[in-house]
Amino acid sequence: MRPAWSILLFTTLAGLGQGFCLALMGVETFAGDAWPVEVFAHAAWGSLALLAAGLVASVFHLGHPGRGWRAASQWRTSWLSREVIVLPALMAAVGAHALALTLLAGGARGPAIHVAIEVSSAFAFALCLLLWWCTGMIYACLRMLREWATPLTPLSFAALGLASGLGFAAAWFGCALAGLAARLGDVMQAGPLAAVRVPALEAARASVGGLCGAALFATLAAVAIKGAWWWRREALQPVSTLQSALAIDHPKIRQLGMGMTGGSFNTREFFHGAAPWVTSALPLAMVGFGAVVPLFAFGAAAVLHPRFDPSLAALFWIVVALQVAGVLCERWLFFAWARHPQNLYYQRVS
Amino acid sequence: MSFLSDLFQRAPKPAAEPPRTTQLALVIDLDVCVGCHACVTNCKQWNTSGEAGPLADLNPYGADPSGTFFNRVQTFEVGEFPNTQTVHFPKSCLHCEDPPCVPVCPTGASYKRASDGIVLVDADKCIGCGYCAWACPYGARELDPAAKVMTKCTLCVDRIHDERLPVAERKPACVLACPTNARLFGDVHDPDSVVSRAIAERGGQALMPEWKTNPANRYLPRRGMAPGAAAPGDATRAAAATAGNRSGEFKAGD
Repeated sequence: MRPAWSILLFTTLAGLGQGFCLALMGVETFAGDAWPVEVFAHAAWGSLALLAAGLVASVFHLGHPGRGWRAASQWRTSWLSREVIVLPALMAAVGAHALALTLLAGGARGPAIHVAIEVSSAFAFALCLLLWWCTGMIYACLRMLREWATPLTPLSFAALGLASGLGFAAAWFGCALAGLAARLGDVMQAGPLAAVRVPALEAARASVGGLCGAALFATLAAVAIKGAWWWRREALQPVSTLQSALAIDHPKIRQLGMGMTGGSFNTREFFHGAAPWVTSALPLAMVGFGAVVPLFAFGAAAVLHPRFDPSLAALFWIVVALQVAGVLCERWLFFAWARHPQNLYYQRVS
Repeated sequence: MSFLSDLFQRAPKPAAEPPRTTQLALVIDLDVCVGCHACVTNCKQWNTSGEAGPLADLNPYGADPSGTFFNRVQTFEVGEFPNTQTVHFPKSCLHCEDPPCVPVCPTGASYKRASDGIVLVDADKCIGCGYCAWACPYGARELDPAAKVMTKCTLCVDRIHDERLPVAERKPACVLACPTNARLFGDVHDPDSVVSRAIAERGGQALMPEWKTNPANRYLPRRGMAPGAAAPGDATRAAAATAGNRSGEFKAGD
């Protein structure tokens, strides 16, 4: 299959936004007192921005974006239609969450605002998981594309989104920690940031370490799931053959002509057309950027975070950028490694 | 885990609605097709000038022409030299009875008509996402690069029901163009139709039956080439083997 940039960017950015959203819910739940409310508010807006960027990328996949609203109509049968409904619903929940947090940080009080925060976070949590299920099932429900037709497909979308989103959250909250420490350091006129030890900052520092640890485990899970996906793919035997495609019972069949010389939708959409060096280099880039780099970085950060100078948190963004590049490689290969049965009819131009 | 594997592997259950009364379809005789591409040309002419058109023609006089066609004729060589046969293979939408392209469509633009079983795309509802083309194992759909909507064989729906035309001309353009009568058109649910009789007499074959799409179009195999075919091919192959040739080959004229 041809990897389309719109889909690669959409699934990568939306997955990042979903993972970041779940990471935010985790920090709010387990370290809600460690951070000023505006840090959570900014993070929620950041998650919304990632989801919106994904939505914008997905629009470029459509021939007629103006008719996109119609895509919400067939939710009874189409996973794509379900995704089209769930993504805006998730964005609404995350947006409501961000708005409530912003109001709270701005001094708004009362029980209603806390109810809004709790309810929107519950919806956002559920819709994040549901969106991964929908996105994965778009591919997994196509039984003819056997590489995709496995529960490992939605699982790998979720695991890679969670891993990259947790890494993104570690970088985001690491930078927020550096900001807090700098403000506190200025007030106290203290020495180097690493020496700043105040209880509130320690709790925030611990939650950044927790995010690094979670990113480590999510990346390990993604490696395991994607490894199983790849192992299954290697073992797949084609169900359709030239014999079944033509209903001709003879062991020796070869194509002489596909009916055209200049190519068609069939030769463009279902073949990746990349040079051999690309298909052999991208798996290495996928494993290196998507797994090895984040595993070492988040592993080291999870262990060393108590002695870590928060001003170094900006370095996490390099790790996040590499990890996202690794996820993009994975998505490219997800398409390129899928062999469509229609390709049996398009083996040779004459 | 079995419910999971069911969820991911099994073909969707056929709809519970009562059987359709009419299923229009093409039956293609591979013994007769000479690969002249007249059906391709007439299909393009009719559909580019009709309700489905215009169909894109990119760089038509250049070195790398490309465009949208509803019908293609491909050519395959079966057997091993010198005992080979050239099979010309017309390929268009098979109008499956359980079309996998229809339920995946997010807008409802892709649908199967209950009245005659034709699978169609409503060009005004199509958003051009291309998902239905992924779901079709046969590659029967083409996204038009100019109109940015999915296109496919309509069985010339804009002429087969046109009562202003003489009855003999209420057929798809490809059928009318075929000089060897390799293309038959009719209702495969009617056991007395020309297509049903041809399927029954000649063992009409479904393409890729493994995906349980139940294609309405059928292919009449070269005699001796059908899956599980009995006497003629086997006899010829056996004769060839005893004559000292390599086995599993066709002889010219087989």
